[in-house]
Amino acid sequence: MSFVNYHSKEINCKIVYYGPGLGGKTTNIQHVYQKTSGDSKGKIISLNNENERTLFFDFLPLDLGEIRGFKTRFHLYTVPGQVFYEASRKLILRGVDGVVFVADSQVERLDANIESLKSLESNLLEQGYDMSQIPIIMQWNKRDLPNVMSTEDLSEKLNKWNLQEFEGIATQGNGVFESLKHISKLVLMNLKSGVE
Amino acid sequence: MFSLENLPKLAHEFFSEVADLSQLTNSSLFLCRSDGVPLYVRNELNSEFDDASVGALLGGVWQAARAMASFIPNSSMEEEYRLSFDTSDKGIYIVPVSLDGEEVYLGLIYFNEVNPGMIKAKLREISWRLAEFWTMVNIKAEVQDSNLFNNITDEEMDNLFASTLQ
Repeated sequence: MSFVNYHSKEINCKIVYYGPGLGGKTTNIQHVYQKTSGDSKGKIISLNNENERTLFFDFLPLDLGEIRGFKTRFHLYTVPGQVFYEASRKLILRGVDGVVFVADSQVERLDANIESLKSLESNLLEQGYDMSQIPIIMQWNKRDLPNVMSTEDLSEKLNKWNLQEFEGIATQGNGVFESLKHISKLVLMNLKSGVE
Repeated sequence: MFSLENLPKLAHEFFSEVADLSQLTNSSLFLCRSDGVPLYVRNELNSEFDDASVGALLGGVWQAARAMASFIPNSSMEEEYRLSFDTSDKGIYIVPVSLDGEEVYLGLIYFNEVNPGMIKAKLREISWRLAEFWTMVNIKAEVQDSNLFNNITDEEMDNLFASTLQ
């Protein structure tokens, strides 16, 4: 979970990009990496297989500025999307503060989206959360492709929780920072205060 | 919720004033949370070293190893596991430390070590002393149920990201 260090006035939060395989999770954080100034980002770490598919996770530490006197650092992770890496996804979700669900808007990927969403729901439940207890947003990615579902249909099929939705074309950067800013805001507003 | 609010401050005090680290040369020592957030880092390596990356990798490798260890017949997670990845003179060694029921990890990356067994024993001893120190000096933070921030505006978020974007 998030960690507020009152001594150094620092906040650390963990955001996980979740979704079906080849949906654009890694592309999201690669875009964040490319567009972030050198001082603010750490090294991007990708544990991939030989086909450049995510094997365990991608990780990007991101130092943002200060908010109300606290330095903020976000740790961005992606999970491997391929179905058989469920154990890895469970591990990466541990201690999560917020989730960006990156759905593939293409009609033929609806079943994969649904399966991935079910996996998210059940893995969060194993940690004692339900979908309404933790900041989550939906990103409808790949909006530039010809065979996409309408956003209304995506909402109806995938967003029964009425979570905030964003359209994205991660390969061009569209929607990437909008999604990140919004989930960051929800995560920060969800932090509990403590007294040293 | 992770409850060790005082840990970064006390860890700094412990490693600088209480623990004897004189035998840990040619090495980098780090203390991380289970989700990879670094709590204390003492880097004496010349290589490029990034606290957050090391923390994330440590969290990942430990969790993966633990998941694999669950396949060992009759194993129990109550047993004291350690993680070692090494050659005869260099490597990585990680031990868990339980503080108020919360697990954190103490790790060491070392090289050019003529007696790795000795520094591994030293690291284990440090981990026990850290747990003792924590018990003695930690004053528990009072965790309130209220939120740290209320009503963050979009403008504040824009400002937060403004210095980050190229």
